[in-house]
Amino acid sequence: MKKIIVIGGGNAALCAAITAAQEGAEVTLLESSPKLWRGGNSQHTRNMRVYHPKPTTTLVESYPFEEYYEDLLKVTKGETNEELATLAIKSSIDLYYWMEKNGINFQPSLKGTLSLSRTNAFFLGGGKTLINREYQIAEDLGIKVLYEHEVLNVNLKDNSVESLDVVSPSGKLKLTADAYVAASGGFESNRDWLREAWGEQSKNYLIRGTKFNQGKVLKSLLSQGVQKVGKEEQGHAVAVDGRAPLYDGGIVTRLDCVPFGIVLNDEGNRFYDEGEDFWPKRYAIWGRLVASQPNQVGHVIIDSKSFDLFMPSVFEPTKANSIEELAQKLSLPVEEVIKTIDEFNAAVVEGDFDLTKLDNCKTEGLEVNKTHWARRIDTPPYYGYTLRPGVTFTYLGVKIDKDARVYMEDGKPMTNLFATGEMVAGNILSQGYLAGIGMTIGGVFGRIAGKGAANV
Amino acid sequence: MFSNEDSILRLKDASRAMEICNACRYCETLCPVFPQITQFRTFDKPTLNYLSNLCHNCKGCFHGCQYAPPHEFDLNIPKTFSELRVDSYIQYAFPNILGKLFAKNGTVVSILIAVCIGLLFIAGAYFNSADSLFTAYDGKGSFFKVIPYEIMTLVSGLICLHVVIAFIVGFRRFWTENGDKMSELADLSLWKYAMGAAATLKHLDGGDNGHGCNHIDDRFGHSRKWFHHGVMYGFILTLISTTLAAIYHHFLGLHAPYDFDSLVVITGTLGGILMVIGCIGLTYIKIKADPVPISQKLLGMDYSFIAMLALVNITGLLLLIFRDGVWMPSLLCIHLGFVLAFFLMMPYCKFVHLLYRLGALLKYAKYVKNNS
Ligand SMILES: Cc1cc2nc3c(=O)[nH]c(=O)nc-3n(C[C@H](O)[C@H](O)[C@H](O)COP(=O)(O)OP(=O)(O)OC[C@H]3O[C@@H](n4cnc5c(N)ncnc54)[C@H](O)[C@@H]3O)c2cc1C
Ligand code: SF4
Ligand code: SF4
Repeated sequence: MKKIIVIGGGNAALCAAITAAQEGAEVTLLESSPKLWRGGNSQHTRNMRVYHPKPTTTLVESYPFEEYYEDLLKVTKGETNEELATLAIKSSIDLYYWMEKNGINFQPSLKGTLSLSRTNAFFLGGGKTLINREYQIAEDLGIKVLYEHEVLNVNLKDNSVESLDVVSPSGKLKLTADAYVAASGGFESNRDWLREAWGEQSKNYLIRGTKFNQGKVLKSLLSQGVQKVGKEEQGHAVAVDGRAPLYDGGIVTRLDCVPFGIVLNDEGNRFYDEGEDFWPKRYAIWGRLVASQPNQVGHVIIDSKSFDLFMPSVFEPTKANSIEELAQKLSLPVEEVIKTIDEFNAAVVEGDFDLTKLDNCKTEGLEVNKTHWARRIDTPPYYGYTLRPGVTFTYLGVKIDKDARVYMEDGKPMTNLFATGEMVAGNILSQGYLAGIGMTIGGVFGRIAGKGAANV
Repeated sequence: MFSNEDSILRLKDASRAMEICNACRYCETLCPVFPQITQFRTFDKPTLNYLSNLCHNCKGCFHGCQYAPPHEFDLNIPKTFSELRVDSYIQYAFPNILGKLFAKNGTVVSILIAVCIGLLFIAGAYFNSADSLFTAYDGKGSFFKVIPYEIMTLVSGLICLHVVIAFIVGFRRFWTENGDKMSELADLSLWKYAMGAAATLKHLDGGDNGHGCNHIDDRFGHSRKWFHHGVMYGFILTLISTTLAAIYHHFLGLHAPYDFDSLVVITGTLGGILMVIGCIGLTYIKIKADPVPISQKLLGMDYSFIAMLALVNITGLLLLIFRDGVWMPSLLCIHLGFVLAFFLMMPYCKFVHLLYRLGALLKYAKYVKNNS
């Protein structure tokens, strides 16, 4: 019986571990977090993007391969590994059926609210429910799950893994196996590494996911001649409420109010077209936009006309009866704010406000115009939300092939190391983000890696 | 334990939780609470009272929540809601003063009441009509040789009246609290939905694909549904049995005890057995379940309710078995003691769950209707 070690404890790792066990291997899974925090970023997810030529039990209509691929090319600006991207997309439907067969529940498509039910399969109850189920399947298959086991180093010799250095509650261990799957996520929670990659400003970033993705395995591999993909500074960040927790804020800290008002920086000036486009594009760009402003913050200002139009937020907004008072409460330069808003209001061209399309409410003559949904900010009470960049995940990773096998810089495939998940996402996502593709990449290559590892 | 201050803190916590859920919505299809909350932005007391009674404590939203402890948001909706439900029971109770009993629902209290009533009967029977409490009576009407018919009817009639009044007032308080009008209850389609959902416990299926709920840990299962069915249908069967017995007695002139193959005995026995199995099963689930999403404060109330139900039925079944022997009189007194205690406690114990859950389902039916 082949002995396999899977490093990591999120969706990618579990898909690999389960597949390897189903292939008859003896599997040990090392998760650095305690049991109650298990599941990495996967516990915060909602859905997975799935290609389907015809409707399934929960996915409506069809989502053809070409359309999915086009969508991917759009966000990555054409930069993707065609072979791997094609494989990931084509296999996403098998992944969906495999999950369903293993008792993972998807939720029936929702009426109205979410237009994503055609392209994305929603995990019933969300990512944590998915993760729970995956751990149950693992348990039932006899997979040994070791919590609080963090891999510090992967010891390579030639192009093979020799052993792993692991810290556990019972001290330091050296573990060996016939084959290994690396699925330990990105490095977004490692503040030092973030500073190296993104500079001083990264100290003001919030991490939307787990604090356990320290990137130690990734670092260890890259420092020993494993081929890198993606750039250190590429990743996915969105604008979140500035009061969100430093880690694990998850979904609820996102703020959806940007197109309803204007966004000011700490100096009281607008800096980007708030009405450029719909969610999800808007959602993806504002993280970076805010990151490039002084102190890495942005302040959305809306008035009471818009308050009920967006998804409720977790934290109470700052509320005031005059712009002056609001600026004071937000610690913004009062005169500058008043000036910006007056100019904005004066530039608004009346139109038919319509949230459901790119409407004709816009401003004219400003340095930065708002091209849609522009309405005067003039009806008290006024509300303010402070935005900060919320990092979702990083794209720097290791190079793999269609068998999820990891490659060395000299072009040689490794004999016994496979990788999946966030640490290989960069093979497909050079930049930009397509909602739900993270789980697809992890699941698809997780299954391939598990199978490969069980049969080395 | 259920002081006003605690209740205010709980309302705050529940409204905070609902606001987080409203921004998250991952649990959207787990149970009716989540689609319902999308209609609100803020959560006042009547709304939270309604939502907490709409929650059937399946714990799906605890095990599946990314913000459950140890997360700093510390969401524990099943626990918060179960305590809030009791606050609402106290608030609706009629007469108000007896609402206090909810907080003191311990097993010991209930059993003590039952034993006292049983002893009272025994004493009464001893001094009044029975020749001896240890005589084997047989034949029709033997029960009334122990406790006179008039007393039995008068006492049970008065208690029933009290229960009915308390239930009507309580239900009315619950129903009208959010501004719903009593007249809306004339809409039969609401009843159709609510009764259907109650009869099948469809919301314990955890969603449309019917995988079940998290009763013990993060695994989905149907055990609680089946044991709950046991209790519910068992209860209905015993009600049928009692009603039949009353009809036999008053209209057909047939007197208890009834033959083993009579409908009264068959439905009663079947119901009794189902309830005992259901009670044992529900207790097992409670003991095995992950303690974190469970309110430890409420365990006394839950266990006492289950224990009372079980004891009513066990003593009833024993009475059936030994009804021709010398133990019948004392068993009868004790059984009636439990029955009476149970009925006395009915408006002030977990039993009201039935009332307000049905009410919450009716309110939810309104929402479903308006949104379909
Ligand atoms: C708030 C949020 C929402 C998201 N929503 C979606 C969505 O709806 N759909 C989607 O497709 N994607 C979503 N994503 C992205 C998605 O989470 C990732 O693409 C996906 O989780 C990657 O899976 P993974 O298994 O590789 O990593 P993770 O799930 O992050 O798992 C990594 C695991 O490795 C463990 N680990 C780390 N280092 C070590 C070590 N040295 N030793 C041992 N174990 C280690 C961690 O503890 C963790 O368990 C979201 C991300 C966030 C933050
Ligand atoms: S219980 Fe948790 S996961 Fe479910 S909707 Fe609420 S916040 Fe989201
Ligand atoms: S415990 Fe179950 S029934 Fe109650 S709110 Fe959560 S999911 Fe709904």
